[in-house]
Amino acid sequence: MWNMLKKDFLTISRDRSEVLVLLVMPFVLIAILGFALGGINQENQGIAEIPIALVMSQEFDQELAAFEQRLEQEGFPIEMINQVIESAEAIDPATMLKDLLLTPELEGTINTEIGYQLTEAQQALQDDEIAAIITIPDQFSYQTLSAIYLDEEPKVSIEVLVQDYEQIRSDVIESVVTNFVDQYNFETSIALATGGEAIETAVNTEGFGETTYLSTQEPVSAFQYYTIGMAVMFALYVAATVSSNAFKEKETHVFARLMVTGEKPIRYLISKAVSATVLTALQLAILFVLSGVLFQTFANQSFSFWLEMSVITLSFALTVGSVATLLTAIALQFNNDAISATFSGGVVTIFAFLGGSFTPVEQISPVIRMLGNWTPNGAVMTAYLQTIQGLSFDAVMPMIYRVLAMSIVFISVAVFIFPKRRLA
Amino acid sequence: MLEVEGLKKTYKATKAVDGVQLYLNHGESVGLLGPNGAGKSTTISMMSTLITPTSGDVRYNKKSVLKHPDIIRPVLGVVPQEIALYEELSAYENMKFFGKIYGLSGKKLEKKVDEVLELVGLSDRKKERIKRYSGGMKRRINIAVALMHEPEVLIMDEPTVGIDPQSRSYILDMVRQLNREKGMTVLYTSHYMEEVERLCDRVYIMDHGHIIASGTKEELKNILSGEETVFVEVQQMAPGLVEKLVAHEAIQKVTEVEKGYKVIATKGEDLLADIFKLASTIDVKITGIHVQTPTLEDVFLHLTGRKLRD
Ligand SMILES: Nc1ncnc2c1ncn2[C@@H]1O[C@H](COP(=O)(O)OP(=O)(O)OP(=O)(O)O)[C@@H](O)[C@H]1O
Ligand SMILES: [Mg+2]
Repeated sequence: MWNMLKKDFLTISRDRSEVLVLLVMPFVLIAILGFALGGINQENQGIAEIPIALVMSQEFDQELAAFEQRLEQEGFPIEMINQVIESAEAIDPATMLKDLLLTPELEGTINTEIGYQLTEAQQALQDDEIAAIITIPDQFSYQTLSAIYLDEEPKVSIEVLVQDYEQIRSDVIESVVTNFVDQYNFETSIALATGGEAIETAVNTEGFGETTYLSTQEPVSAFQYYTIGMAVMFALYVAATVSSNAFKEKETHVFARLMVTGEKPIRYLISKAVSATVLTALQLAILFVLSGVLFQTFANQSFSFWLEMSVITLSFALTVGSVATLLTAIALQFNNDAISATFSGGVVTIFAFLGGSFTPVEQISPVIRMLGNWTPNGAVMTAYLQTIQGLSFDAVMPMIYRVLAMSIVFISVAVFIFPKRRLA
Repeated sequence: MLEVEGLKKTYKATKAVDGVQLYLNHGESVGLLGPNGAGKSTTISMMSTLITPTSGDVRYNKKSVLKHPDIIRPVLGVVPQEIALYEELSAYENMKFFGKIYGLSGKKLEKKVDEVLELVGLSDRKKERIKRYSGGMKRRINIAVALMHEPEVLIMDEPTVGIDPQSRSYILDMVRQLNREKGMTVLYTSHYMEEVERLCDRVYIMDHGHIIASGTKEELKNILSGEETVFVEVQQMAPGLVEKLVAHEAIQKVTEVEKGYKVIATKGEDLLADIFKLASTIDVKITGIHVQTPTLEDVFLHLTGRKLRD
């Protein structure tokens, strides 16, 4: 197998035009687009700030008074009541969420407006003035405190209403809230070593995507955006390169020669998948490293960031490998390399556009983004950008599963159509 | 050792191979002769398990190769009609690649590469890419690759097409050496009669998908024992003479050749005199006349009424 890979690698790397397409072009484009668009978008690269409304349907003082009354009714000693009320302010979830949303760290990511009435907020949401409403319902603080101190089931929950045509926005908002809830549960259960259980403040996640977590970071820079965009686009060319190389093997009769030696067609096909996978991984690694070194694209990133990037890269490389296999199988089976040409001439461009390689398509239309996320390059582009934005890996996984599923489909089809034993 | 039985291959309308019967004994050198499109390559492809016959079978040591392609693949060296090499790789890299595919490795592989390069006489240029090779050199490497695993049977499909006489002569000597000294069984396909005459013990002549004659060279030429070939050299080509000649009862075939005509006729006392007479009746000047013993080319001509090559 190594022998086959080495041969593929040598034959492709000695073709100057291939090297040009696979490495030089994307790099030049990264440089051009990065410099050209880097200046314009300085403040607002990648995703724009998300405006949301925080609607408080309760007054904390009233809640607290009600809770104090309740404690008195339950017949707790007065010193204890005082103590609880004193600490209650510090652990009130509504206050904490509000503080979190207004924290300077979220600046640039989320812009929280308070003071909306629920109906006003709903109108604003409809008018697209805001992207989401987070509602703290009436009695929320009261119930949470009861849950903590009196071990009662809370009957209300924070509601998050997101206009979800931009996946990434809903991811961010949801992630802020869920993260908050988790953090809150964790902290209160530690704080209350009194045996009080964690609150079960459920986030109503209905109506929008998967749970994601956000640790706020720099927004995506133009260099980051286009390094990813160009890399995932030009990686697709590897598939076409490998398949036309395979077709050339058939045309120059070396494929026949290989078959005469007793080499199994399926092994040959697998060698193409592995070749394309390795070449793609190499190509992406070279592009990322070059871009990182020359443009400081990924400065100050942690080890786990690079680990995640590697996982995404490998998954994508595998997908490109599977596409290469499919193209190879089609080209060899139908004895025509038009498929590779069509792929590199048209499909790549369309996929690259849908996937957002040229411009953040969610700003054009959410439908395109959705379509784009069903292209291998678009899906991993989303995954890469989410990682760069600091979303946790759980948030990125769905896109990875998606491309891996695509790979399995492509390979299965390829194996199905590839001739099993002989040429004719 | 290797037998081909009732082999047929039909492509839609064309019967590329139509019931071919042949065998190779161990250590033999056998020629497969035929004009373009005779079905030689198709026969070879089926013998080397590359394509599936429409019907018929190929047997190696009595075992069906169709059912067990793996028994023949390791013992077979196939030199395809086309140059089947990686143009971007050097001769050395090509040979190593295919050597590894055949399971060679390490020292043994290196040694074999050197040995075969020596045999084809390209040791000093092994690092150059195939792309930069001349046609003759490519042909030699094309053969070299098939020799990497020391095959028991070497099948060569027109290994000398389109190359210079020296390379050709080199290759022929090499094949003879492999056959005589190493005892390699050779099936040599060509449409060059001289090559087959020089190399092979036995010959199959193929046309339109059929084997039309087979036997040792002598046996084949005996088909023409009752005939003789006469070259009539003329000062100026004269179609009128052809008509006269064909009309002669002893003459079977007249073909135009350089500076004259080739005449195949039943042996007879006064043929030459008759030819002179015929020529003089229409004022054609004969500048020379040679009687030749028949060649395989003549045999082919006799059998098919056509020349092997145009
Ligand atoms: N894949 C194919 N599809 C259709 N017809 C084919 C195919 N391969 C060969 N043929 C036809 O079968 C016939 C025999 O071809 P083949 O290549 O075996 O001849 P050959 O004797 O090797 O000729 P040459 O001396 O030109 O190499 C030809 O008429 C050819 O057109
Ligand atoms: Mg042929």
